Amino acid sequence: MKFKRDQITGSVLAALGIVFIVMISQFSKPITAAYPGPKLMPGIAAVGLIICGLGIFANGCRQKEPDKPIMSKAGLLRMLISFAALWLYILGLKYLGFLIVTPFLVYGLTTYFAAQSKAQTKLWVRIVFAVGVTLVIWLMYVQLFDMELPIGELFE
Amino acid sequence: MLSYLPYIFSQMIQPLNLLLMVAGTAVGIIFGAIPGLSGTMAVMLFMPLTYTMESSTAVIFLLALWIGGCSGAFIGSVLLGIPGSASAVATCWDGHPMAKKGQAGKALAIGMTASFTGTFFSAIIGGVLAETVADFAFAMGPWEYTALCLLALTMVLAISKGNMFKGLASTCIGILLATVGFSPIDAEPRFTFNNMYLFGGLGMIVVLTGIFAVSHILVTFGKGFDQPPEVSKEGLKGFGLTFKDIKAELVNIIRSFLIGLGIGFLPGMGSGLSNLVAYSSAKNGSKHPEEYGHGAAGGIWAPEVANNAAIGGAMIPMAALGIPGDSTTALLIGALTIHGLEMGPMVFKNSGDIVYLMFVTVAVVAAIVLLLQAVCKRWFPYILKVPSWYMYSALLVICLASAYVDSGNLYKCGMMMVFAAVGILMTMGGLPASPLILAFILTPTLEKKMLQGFQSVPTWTEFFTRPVSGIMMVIAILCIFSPIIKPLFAKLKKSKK
Repeated sequence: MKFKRDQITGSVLAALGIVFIVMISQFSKPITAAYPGPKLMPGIAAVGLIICGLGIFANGCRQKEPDKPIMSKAGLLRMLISFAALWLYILGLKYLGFLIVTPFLVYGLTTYFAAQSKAQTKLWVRIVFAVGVTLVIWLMYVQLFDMELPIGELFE
Repeated sequence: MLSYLPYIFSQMIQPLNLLLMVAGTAVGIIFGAIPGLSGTMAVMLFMPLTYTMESSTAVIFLLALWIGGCSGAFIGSVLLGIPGSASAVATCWDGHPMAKKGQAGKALAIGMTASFTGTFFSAIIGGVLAETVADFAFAMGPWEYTALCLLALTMVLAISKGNMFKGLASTCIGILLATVGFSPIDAEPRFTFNNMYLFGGLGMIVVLTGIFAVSHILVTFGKGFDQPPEVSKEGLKGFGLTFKDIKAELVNIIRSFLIGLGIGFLPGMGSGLSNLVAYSSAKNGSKHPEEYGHGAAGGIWAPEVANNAAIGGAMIPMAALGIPGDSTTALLIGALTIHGLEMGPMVFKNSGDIVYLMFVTVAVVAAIVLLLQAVCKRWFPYILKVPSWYMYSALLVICLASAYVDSGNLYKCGMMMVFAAVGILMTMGGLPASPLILAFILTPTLEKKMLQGFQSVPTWTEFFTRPVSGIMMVIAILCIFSPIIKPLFAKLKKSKK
């Protein structure tokens, strides 16, 4: 049996609501009629999540036509690869710093994005763009607005 | 207000402020024009840059980004038939057909003039009315504030398209995210897991940039970037509009302006709704409704005047009550709080100079937008042809740099990626992002005021028996149940017929 998207979304939201209710029940201050304390707001939201989750699930059950795909499997893979690249970038920032890692990320993403979009781009343009973006962001944040960007643990 | 004029003038002529005003406007127009980006995203991404600025400079820069973004949205609508943002949806319906007839220059000129008219005059009215509204707000207790915050949250739901449960679920997620950290008044740690990075809460930039910007870029890539569109450059020379054209649409302009101002003033609503309402009013009020949808000038004037008039309208509750009119004003309230400016009735007493500077800035930026757009009109097609692969890779780096600058540690960059994943899952589940933004920004005020209400009078009934809060509570509850009530009314109407 294939589940509808709304059925999955609804179940996840309802389950999330239950998890939050369990966590809220561990707060020390109780809800009283005279003073609801810190439990009320997250409590309302958690109950709301359960109700909405059930509502969305019910809508999914009523839905007769099949779900339209949001993106293809190849698209999903593309998205996950970009997502992983950003995590790697954060790791790179930690050890090597902004100025060294950023041109590689921008070059890599630009090349990957362009290749997946079947666009013709020139190598030197991508390199100049990657270095240029890095320098502009560095100059803007660090030099112009006196902020800090990671310099990397290896260079500290 | 007059006593603040020397201060406002001194701020306006500062070279850095002038430079940031023009730069912010230009960046805002570009973000507004490109479908998929928006003025809201521009404000979000560049907000951390303002942390080291003086409050006045920060206000000027952020407002320039916002106004530029609101105004630029019509460019995509006219030249591509794809709205730059939700505020310019109705502009597509006549703007693009007019451009296809070879009158792109005229359509753009109407858009520019209408944007200027809406923004400039609404800022003036906003500046005049805001302090009066604030004086009324002094009579409001925590009960009225609680009801007003609740109303702002629920009104978004009442107008949300499609499945209302999804809008409400998004609101609930926003509330839960906003409650991470120490609770107001009682200082009880909530959902912190003894992690010191969570004690102070999640942070606006981290949550909103992750959910709103990073996830959007990744999902767009997953769906496949579009090739840069072919945009006709025909008819882009000259201003393309005469005084006679404006005179012919005067009634439409005034009506749309009032609609925009009124909708902007309502908490939780904004330009996304005003442009649609104004368009349908213009069509219904026109002597030639059959021309609408085929390049009627009135079909561009109405949405563009209305969506920009919503700016001044939204600024009134933002300044006088601290309640956002839409998601961008919600972000602005957050940004101003970081600069020590807590919006609300007291702001006129504590920082009246900055508040009036805001209204004057909006009016001045409206003029700069008009000037920039009039001069750069022939280059608009090039803005729309920026390849996504260059633009989005640079934006991803800016998102991560913003998260780092916001907190000074890479932990928050990682946290932003977690929220990007949340945003992706929300997109896949069809949950809208706007209710989450509003809920995330409004919840701390809502909770604090509610608990203060209980501390003053320890009973629920006070929220319903005070006339103003009672009425707002009833409307808020009706908004929540509107999906059930609306069909019932429709059935009743049918059975009467």
